[in-house]
Amino acid sequence: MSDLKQELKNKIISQLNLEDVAIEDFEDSTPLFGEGVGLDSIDALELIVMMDKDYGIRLTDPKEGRKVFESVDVMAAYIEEHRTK
Amino acid sequence: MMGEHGIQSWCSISEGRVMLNEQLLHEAPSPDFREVMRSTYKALGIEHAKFHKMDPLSKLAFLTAEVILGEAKRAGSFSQETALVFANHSSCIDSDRKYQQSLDDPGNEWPSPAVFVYTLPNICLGEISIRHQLFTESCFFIAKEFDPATMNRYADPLLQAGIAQQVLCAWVEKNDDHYTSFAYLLDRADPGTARDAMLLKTKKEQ
Amino acid sequence: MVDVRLSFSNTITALGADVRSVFQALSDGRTGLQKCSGWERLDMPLCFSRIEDSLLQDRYHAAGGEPGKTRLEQMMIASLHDVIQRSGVKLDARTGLIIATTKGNIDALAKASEFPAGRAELVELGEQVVSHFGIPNTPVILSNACVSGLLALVVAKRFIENGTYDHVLVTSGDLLSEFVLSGFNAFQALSAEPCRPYCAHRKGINLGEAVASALVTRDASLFSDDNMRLAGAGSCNDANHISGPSRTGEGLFRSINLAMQEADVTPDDIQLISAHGTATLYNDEMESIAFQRSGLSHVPLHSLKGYFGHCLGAAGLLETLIAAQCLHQGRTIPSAGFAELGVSQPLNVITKAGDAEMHRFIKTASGFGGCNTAVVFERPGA
Repeated sequence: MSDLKQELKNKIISQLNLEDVAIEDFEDSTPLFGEGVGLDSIDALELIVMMDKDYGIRLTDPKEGRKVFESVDVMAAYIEEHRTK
Repeated sequence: MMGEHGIQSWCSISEGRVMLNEQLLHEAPSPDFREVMRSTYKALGIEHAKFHKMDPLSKLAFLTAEVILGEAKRAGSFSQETALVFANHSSCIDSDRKYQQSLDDPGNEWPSPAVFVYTLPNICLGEISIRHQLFTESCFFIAKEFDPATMNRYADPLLQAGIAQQVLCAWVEKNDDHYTSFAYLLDRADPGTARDAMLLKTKKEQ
Repeated sequence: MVDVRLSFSNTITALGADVRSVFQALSDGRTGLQKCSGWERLDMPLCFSRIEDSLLQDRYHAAGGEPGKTRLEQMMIASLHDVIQRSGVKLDARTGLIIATTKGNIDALAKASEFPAGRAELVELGEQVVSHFGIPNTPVILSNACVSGLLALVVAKRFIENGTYDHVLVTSGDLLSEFVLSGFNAFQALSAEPCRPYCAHRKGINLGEAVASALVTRDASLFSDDNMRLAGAGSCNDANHISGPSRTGEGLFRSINLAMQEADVTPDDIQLISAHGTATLYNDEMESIAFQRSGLSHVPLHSLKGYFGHCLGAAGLLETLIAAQCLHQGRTIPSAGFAELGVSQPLNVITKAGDAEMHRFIKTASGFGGCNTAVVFERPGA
């Protein structure tokens, strides 16, 4: 689980080009959107692509996506439960 | 002299050099585009996390605007009523190619929304408007080559009608290894402002 | 003030190859949208509108079109040919040409294209169109996302007002392409059912293919019977987000205000809103807020996306031409797909075709990059 969280943080930082975010300031519980990591709606769409591509999870409702992407904690738990690859 | 023609200021980013008016503002360690963007962003002391997400054309346009509008802010001459008239030859071809390659890649079923959104040349105008909170007119033209006369013909009436107090005109070209930008700021206070096209053209070519 | 008119015009869409027959099709309640199980390599249910190949061939042939042109070039040439023929405008130094498009010949970039990748350059598109007609002026090419077609009219108006040209030919067009379909799909913005602007049940957009062209002129001898005065215009950025519409409708609100100011009218002087209405959740909501802030909530409104889908760069001009016919023929066109209001602010969505005397309409468009444009059109003599 902690490996998955680390993997997610690395992916989020590199794939979403978060050059100003250091991995050590990125807590498992930090909110990904808004005041936390500061992701926006385009990032959410990229995360939806990533969920499909890397974990075989299809999120079709953007609102559902927002709940899943609350934090790395929530994302990791969701992936553990639903992953198909 | 530029001042006689009411052009507030001009700037350019080309061959690793960032010029503001007659001065070298920054020289990148190498003329490589990514290096130029990264080092210019740092040298200007900007904090704008979204910059790193931009496509190459938006980065170039954003930094070009940053140099000239940043200077206007320091000099106290910045106006919120600044319209944007931008042009280039190649539209957003880098992002177009990148997106098309992802479609032509047989192993890839997942085209990127973050790449797709930059496949419109006017996105860079949105980025600049957000950064400087410009709720003004912004227009992106495509032309064979930098032609200040046409740009000025469009900018002039915006100033005359008072739709804008200033107009930032810019040529921002990015195609593969080639990049160049040239921008100038026109001010409503000087009615002769938008006229001296030949001078600008000479400046760009220098 | 220079009196600038929108004069002779043409459009080629899934519903016909001239403005009057397309307008008739809309009056008859026909739609150009079709449901499909896929498009090129996109294997998924889709709903879109597309110009029939045989219709385009026929119109391009009638325009004396030479071989070796791309589909979009054929569309633009066929459409412009009709406008040039009927108006009799001289193609000399006093006549400008504006080409408005979001993606141009983007299909030429695909590996499978029969054209070289260089054909995707918009400058090349301009040269192909200009060389067909022998237009002496360099074309002005405008690529401003989904406001392009409407903004092109504003640019034409400004060029005529400042004496650059006496007449400007405008053509706006975009293709149905795998490039754009897959992109909007990645944005989770597509609806596989006919779209439903402003409706509580809306699920996203349909894409469409169209070309629309017009002559903009100050010369009274070139005014068509169904011309419209370009009374006022505004184009403002949201300065908020590059893809998401502003929550406050700021840019559209400001655009509308500028357009009404220049036209010197109040909301009570406007009888129709030809709105953008893409049927995405956030766009339609944003528009309702902007219209409410502008005092236009009570004005009858339609979106034509339920007939053509979103024709991108062509949408603004195509929809303007239809609204102009509404005024000239005294007929309203309902907003297809609308059942119950699904935005936070009141709107007077047109649900039935009917007769109405209308003097002015406002056309609005909004697009990626935070751009918005609004133009007030006036029926001369009204």
